Amino acid sequence: MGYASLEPHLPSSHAPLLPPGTFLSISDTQASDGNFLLHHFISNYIKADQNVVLVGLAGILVHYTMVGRKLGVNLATARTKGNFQFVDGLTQLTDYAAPNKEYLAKPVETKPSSTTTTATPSPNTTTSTMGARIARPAAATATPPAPPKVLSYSPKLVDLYKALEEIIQDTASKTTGPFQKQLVLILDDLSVLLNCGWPCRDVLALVRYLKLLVAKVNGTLITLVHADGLMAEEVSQDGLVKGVFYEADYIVDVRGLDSGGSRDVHGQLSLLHGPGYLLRQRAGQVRENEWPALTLHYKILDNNVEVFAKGYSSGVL
Amino acid sequence: MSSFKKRVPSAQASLPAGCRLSAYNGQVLISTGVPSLDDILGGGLPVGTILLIQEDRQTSYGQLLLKYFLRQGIVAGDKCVVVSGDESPEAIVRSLMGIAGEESLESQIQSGVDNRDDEDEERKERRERRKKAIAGGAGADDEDSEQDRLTIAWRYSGLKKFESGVEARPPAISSRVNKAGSTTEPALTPSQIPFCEQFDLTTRISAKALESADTTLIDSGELQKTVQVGDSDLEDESDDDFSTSGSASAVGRNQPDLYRNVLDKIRETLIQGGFSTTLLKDPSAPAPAPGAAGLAERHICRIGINSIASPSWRSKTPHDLYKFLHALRGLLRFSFGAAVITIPAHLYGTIDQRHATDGSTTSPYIHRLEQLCDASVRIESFAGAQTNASSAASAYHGLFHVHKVPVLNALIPSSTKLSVLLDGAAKGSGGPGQSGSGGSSKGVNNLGFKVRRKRFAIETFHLPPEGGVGQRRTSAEPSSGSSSSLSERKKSSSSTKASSDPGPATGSFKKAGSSEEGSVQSRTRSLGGSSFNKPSGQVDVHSVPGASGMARKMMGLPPKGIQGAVASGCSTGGSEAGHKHSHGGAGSGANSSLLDF
Repeated sequence: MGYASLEPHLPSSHAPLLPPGTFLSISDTQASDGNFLLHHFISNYIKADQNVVLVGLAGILVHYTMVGRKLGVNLATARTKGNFQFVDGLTQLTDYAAPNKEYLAKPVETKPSSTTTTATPSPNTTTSTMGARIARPAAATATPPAPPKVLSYSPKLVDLYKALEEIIQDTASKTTGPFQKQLVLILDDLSVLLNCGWPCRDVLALVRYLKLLVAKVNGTLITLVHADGLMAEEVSQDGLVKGVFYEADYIVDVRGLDSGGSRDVHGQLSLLHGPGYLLRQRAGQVRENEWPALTLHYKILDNNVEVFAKGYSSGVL
Repeated sequence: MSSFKKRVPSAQASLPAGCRLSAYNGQVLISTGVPSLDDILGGGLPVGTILLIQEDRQTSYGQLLLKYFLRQGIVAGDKCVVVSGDESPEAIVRSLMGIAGEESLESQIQSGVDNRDDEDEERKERRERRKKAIAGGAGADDEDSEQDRLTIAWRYSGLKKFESGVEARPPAISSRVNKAGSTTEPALTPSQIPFCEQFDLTTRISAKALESADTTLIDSGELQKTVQVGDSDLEDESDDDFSTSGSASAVGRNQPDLYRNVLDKIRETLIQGGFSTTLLKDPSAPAPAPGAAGLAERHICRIGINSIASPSWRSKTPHDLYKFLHALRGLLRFSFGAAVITIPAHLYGTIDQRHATDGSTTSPYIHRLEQLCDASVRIESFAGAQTNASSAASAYHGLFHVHKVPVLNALIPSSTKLSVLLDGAAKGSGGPGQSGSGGSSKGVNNLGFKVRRKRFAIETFHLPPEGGVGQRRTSAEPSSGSSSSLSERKKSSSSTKASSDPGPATGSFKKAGSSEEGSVQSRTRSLGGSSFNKPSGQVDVHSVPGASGMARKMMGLPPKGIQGAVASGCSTGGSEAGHKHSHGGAGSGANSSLLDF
């Protein structure tokens, strides 16, 4: 499981998973990285044998695999099983990085346009950086044959959406059985899209589209966006954060303590109700106390995260 | 035999030269050339990451760090890619520092001078002074032997020595001397290349090292000119391509895309040198299996970019730099490479932010850059700052802010586990289990940096003791009539010891080295003109090692000063000294008896 102490504070109706058709938005700051929450959901969904599609716009597969190992999930086997799909949004996302494609090993077929996903077969080394390979050579060689899908550059975000749509429907269609598996689509850093030059409006549209797309296949969308107070002056940045919040059902805001750094408390988590939740609450679709909005403190450990009520850190008690 | 066998780290042998594995997450690390910066990053800069250094104003310590990074790369035989626009990259490479002890070796061997120990200048000064004191003994005080046995603050003598910095591992001087003795310098095997060499800022890189260095120089200023010329021709054809790209790049489309060109060059270097694990020189050829055997001969590609986004770097859109960094990260993550980038961040602030001193206020533009880098530090030199800190802490040259440390393949950055400088808990009074039970309210230390004649060091930043120990001491110096007798008394005991056996004497001196350094610094600081406000109780806590010396100094003070010290409740020893002094007046007998209590 992910982090046991965080579990009771998350929406309870489908615990340990999120209710399907919802959108959880995570915002963080530089001082307190919200990446650990993504690991929580990845490991929960994989443990529950559901589908995960992870778009790594900032992180690479090895990072998630290594952390997954610490949390007790093997993402490599999940990939071979088809439960876990990693989409590489780092190496070819921008026009600057687009020429990388030409140097990839053994391009068997050249796609007619750069707009679609290029599932270029590349050697096993694609999935391992040096650290992993040197530390555990055996694990690296055991990586699944399928290379991660790569999001390649396109001036229009619509093309990225199409690429993701293809992957998601592919993943969802694989598991049409008597009972449909849940799916979670995780975008690990929405701010990257904004930084790489796509206008805020387009990024928000992408989020909205993805939310609807995922809802269709009994899935959940999780995004991470950087929301430092410092950058709130910028119109596009502020618009992105607010726009994403507006779409969200659940909001988890991660930030540092107002009083500064601490050894025992790394930051605080504010669990908030998004507009989507409030609408459903008014319609009577949510149970009472399904997701109480409150503020918690957390401390990140080696392979766990402790979440506790304010003032209940081990340093105080 | 028993089944217990010592595990020989086999992976260690196959590491590229000058690398080591992180003790925390097994990441391959390279050194930045500065031991204290390595410590902050969690042992070193992880391969595949980008370190952003926000430059200082009016001084060039940021570039100094970049030079350390490149110089260490040359030592390890790494590929160095130098990108610069303001200065020519060649000038940067030429002005790299030399290795400590290397330059002067020949002359040293001939003349027999021992300056191998290029430790702190102050320490050497102390030694010379001490020698003089032993030889001449004319009024110079002999504190060293006294500091070994604390007479007044004896209860502190059991404490660990206060250290604010990180010791560099001493290089194998002896082996280097031997090596220089035999003129044919054999190539070091990868295991012999030190992770972090000791450099000497007073010397320049030797011509031989410069020759053997594997560097690629990219002059972005030159590149810009050529690009501009090239683009003007191609503008018409390329116009269509540009117009299709999104609205962001529609602005200023006939300007050259400098960042793209720089990135292309870096990519080319990475691919041609075989540093990339995914991108191949010849895509059609079958991928060679990167075996562990090949790793030992492998080198790292170090990319140093000087003053990126300075006014001479023209960008097409504000997103150019973001895209550049994102693409560079994508490249490096799958390469045997690491980048250090300095940026004149102070150019990108609003006016009030530019003068801000605390680390939280960087401009939004820089802040977003930090998101795209793996580590980010900021140098704030006192020379360019309008802060009071500069006058208060002249022992430092500036502050060192750590904004971000690399978090790779783990939930928490390895520096929180390993760093001595960042987290007081790692070193503090407790053992390894101490981190769980929090004592201090703040886990992160303030850091400052010093540039001595020979090296750059980052240390934990402390304000000097208010008023300072040295203030009283220096004021006492002229009227040393009373203390001369006692120093004579002391001398008679210590000089006999020292003259009979110089070996132990120097040994004891070395032990007391760091504490002495502290007292010397505080003296020079107060000489520098910091005002003597009021003696406070904290003074003694800070200057524990020098406490006995201080009590002696206090006797030379006018009674008024002593009254002040007593009133503030400095320490029991201090107050007693005050009483005795007022009883016995300026009599030397009273003073010397006082020292013996």
